[in-house]
Amino acid sequence: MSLSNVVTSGLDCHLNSGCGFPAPGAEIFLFDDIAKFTILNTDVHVTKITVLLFISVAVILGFFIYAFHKPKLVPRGAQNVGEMGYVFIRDGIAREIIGKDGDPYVPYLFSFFFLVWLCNFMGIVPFAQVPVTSIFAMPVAFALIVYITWVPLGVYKQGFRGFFGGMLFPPGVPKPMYVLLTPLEFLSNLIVRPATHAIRLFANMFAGHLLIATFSIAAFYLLSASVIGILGSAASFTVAIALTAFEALIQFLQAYIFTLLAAVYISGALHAEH
Amino acid sequence: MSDSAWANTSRLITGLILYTGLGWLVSRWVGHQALLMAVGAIVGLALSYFLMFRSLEHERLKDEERRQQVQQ
Repeated sequence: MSLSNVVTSGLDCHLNSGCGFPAPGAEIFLFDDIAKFTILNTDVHVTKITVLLFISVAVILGFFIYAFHKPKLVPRGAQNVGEMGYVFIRDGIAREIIGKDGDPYVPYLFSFFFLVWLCNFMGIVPFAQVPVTSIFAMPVAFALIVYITWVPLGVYKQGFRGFFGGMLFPPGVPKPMYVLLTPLEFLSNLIVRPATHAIRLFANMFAGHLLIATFSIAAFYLLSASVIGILGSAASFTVAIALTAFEALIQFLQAYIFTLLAAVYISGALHAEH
Repeated sequence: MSDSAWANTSRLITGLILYTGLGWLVSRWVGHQALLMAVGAIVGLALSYFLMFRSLEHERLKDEERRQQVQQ
């Protein structure tokens, strides 16, 4: 049985047809291959997620190239929206978190914010309807890119000793305490923080998608010729719509938090820790 | 805004998990099941709190310094 059959097998299942509620599980995050090929002995599977990721990238590139292809002194239309996004990242994140030397990192944060936002936003786009970032590999890849940015940056700006010394050996602590504190700081700064960076985005998108799916399926499942069926179906449908609106907010918020954390890590790499 | 909020959250989690885990391992080794695990949890939390208060105190001093510079 292919994956799409698993997902759609609940379609002929209704309240009084004797089957239980087909609750969605992790299988709604698995997709059939659209295409498959091999490069350098590596199997490349193209799924809906891959396509949606490339669509997200194309939409961002298309929009911002269109917005800034003929920039005018007094911005109008698309340029206005693009500049609002730019100023939001520059003043709201880069200058706020990193400070005066934050401007060189605006393009980096800007790209991250809009890519993550659009990947999240795919969760409520009709027919796409799955957030790209709800597949754990995506936030992990994003968080790894941030990770391999701020660690070398810290070594470059503060020197190997300065960066790792400041991070792992907090000054003003009695020497024997380092035996206990250094492993803690090492795990906390170099492993737990990047891990939570990815998990925070993934878990929010995963849970949100599962919630919307559950209530959408409930609206379909309960729809039958009985009072409780009709009332329950209507209620589930309303909740699904409300959750979609709520998800729109969460998607923006998570993209913002992801970018904010990237800026926090870069700021920590630029400025010596106390 | 500084990164102390995020850093301290991960410190609290890490301290607790790391030293509870170490306590669990040691207690498996010596055969005293739960006791050393509890000791580890308390030690881990204490160390996390120590690091957290240290960084918050440092921040307070920095804020005060900045305020004095503004007043001068």
